[in-house]
Amino acid sequence: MLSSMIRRGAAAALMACALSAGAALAQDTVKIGVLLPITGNNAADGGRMLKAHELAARQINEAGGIKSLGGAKVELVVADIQSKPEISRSEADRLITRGNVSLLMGAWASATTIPAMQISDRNGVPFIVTSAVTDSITEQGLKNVFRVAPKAKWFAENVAGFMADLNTGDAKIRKVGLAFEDGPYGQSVSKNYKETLLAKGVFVVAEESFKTGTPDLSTQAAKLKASGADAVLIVSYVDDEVVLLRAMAAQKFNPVIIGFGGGHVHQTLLQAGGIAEKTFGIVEWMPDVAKPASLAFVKAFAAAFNNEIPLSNQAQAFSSTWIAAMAIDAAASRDPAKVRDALARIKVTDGPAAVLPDDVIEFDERGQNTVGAVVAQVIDGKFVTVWPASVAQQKPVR
Amino acid sequence: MIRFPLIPVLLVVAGFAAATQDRYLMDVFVLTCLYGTMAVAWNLAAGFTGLLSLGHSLFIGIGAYTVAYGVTAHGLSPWVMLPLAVLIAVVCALAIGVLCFRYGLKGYYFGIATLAFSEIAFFLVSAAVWLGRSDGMMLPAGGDPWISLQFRAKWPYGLMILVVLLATLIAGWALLRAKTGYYWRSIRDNEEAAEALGVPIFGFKLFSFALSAGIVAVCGAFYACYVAFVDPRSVLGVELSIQLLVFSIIGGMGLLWGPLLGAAILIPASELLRIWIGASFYGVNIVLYASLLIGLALFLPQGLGALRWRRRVS
Repeated sequence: MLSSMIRRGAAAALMACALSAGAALAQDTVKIGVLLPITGNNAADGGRMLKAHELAARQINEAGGIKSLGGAKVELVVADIQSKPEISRSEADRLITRGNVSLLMGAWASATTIPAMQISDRNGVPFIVTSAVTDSITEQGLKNVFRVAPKAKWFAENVAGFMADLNTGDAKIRKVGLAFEDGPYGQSVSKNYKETLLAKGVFVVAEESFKTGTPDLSTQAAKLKASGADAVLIVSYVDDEVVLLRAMAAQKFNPVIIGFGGGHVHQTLLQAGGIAEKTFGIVEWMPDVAKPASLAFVKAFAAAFNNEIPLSNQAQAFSSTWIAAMAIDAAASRDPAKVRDALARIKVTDGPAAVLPDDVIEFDERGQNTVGAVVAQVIDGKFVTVWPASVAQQKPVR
Repeated sequence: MIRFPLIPVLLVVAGFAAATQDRYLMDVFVLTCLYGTMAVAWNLAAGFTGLLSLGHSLFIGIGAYTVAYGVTAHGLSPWVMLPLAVLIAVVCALAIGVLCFRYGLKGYYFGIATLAFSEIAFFLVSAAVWLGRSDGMMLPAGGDPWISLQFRAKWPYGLMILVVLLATLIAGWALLRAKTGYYWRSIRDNEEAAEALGVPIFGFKLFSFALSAGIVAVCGAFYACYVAFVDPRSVLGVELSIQLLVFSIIGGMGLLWGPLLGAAILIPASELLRIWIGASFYGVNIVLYASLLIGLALFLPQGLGALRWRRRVS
């Protein structure tokens, strides 16, 4: 009598457990917090990033969700950080304490990313830094912070590597001129360039700065020409670069030109015509990066968003979302601590997450992804990836 | 004439008690008190002495950057840097004040001059390598939290800013009911008449401006500890100065606690709007927030704090 009651009770309890677990697995989504500037100064960037995050989430769910959690769907909990550091911080806090998220991603610029990732770290919730490049982010020893984007100083190393590869026969680059806008962006990048190049034995023979929006840069062009530089590295916004290229062309000065990021790889540069031809630009990612995952991403993105071509930061956002899902799947848990450990061990060699230029996506002991940039060259009025050879469409043209 | 702001003080203390159980509520409480204190301090100069400063972010920035620099570059406790921060802010305020008052800059001209000084600081810091340029500075966690002021819990922050707010309200109340307060208001209402009656206007204007600067520097130092990150845009930007002005105008510039009221309504309102609407309809929360501001400015030009007085008159 007693034993049968116990047995029945145990059976009922077991069934209740199974039912509730089954219900939890079938209905509960896995929540991933996404911090983005949907409004404010960086609203356009935030909106772009959101498209890529949403595309990835849709693909993950269509492919069956998180398999180790019974096919649970991924739910992006998006918070608008209004392009402000203190809002980013409070929103991170809110998503962690109220939003029940397993992981956070974001938060566009370094200034909005740093406060949010610190809060996340202190609460033991993993944070994937999608696009911020300030070196110090992964130099603080925060064990819950993982960065998909490269460090700012790596761009300089990539440029040095690219120039070394470009050196063939007699056409060696020995002397370099720097031309940069005199704001924090131009100053910090050109400082990295200078330190890195000097360490590699390349002489920096000219440093010309200018104010953004200067209508005529003939003086700077003349000084760069007089310095005898074999290559000119330009760090500016695209409109200034067009002005400088025009001034250099007018003085028949044709060195190797390497521009920087979105200030170079930009439709406006192509509209400048012949003066942009054969110029190089270093950038995190290009839509023509020769990797199957990358090409599939560009195709899916165009199909989803009216033939739009994604930009480099969108590739980072897309990849980050897939990495998050893979980590949760590997952890087989919604628990942030377990997801963190899975992230630390993750190694992506193929599949949809592998859109970024390097062969492998994995995080070192400081949470930094060792990812390199690519070099795009303007060939016949189009940006074409020419370096590194592993993902290039063709060889650089000199 | 100036009564002790007993009800606001009790409400703030009650707010702290209510928020201790919830991290997110405590965050809203801390932000409200932080901006409330800064706005009350701003209003001591602007609303009571007629010194319409548009560059208070300079002093907030000095507070925040002094602490951030001491902590990151030399590993010093914020407790050590705090007095230094206040000292630097007060000296800067005195220097700016002496310059402006000596050459008789008043009203909007004074406002523009202060704005110019804060913008200069903004660009200087944005270019200073040792202050992290526009990348800003991160404050590391670790060590004894009561020394580094980096707590995992929120309530110690709430307690600290509560103390700062109460001290500001009590000091403001004590000064406003004393001779100083009457001098300040006489300067605000008619500087020439006050001077003719023998009010030492130069000294009392300086005192008001420097006191206000000192208090917001404390708030800036607190901001650095709380957010654990400072950058020029968030602590030296003109938006911050304007925010203090908005809280004060909405709450009522004629009252000591008016700016606190403004902050206590607008900060939770913007949080609620963001959570309820901002997550599903991006940007709508900001439109609603702006409408709220416009409505308040149109229908209550004297600020919310004036509601009570007007009813009593009619």
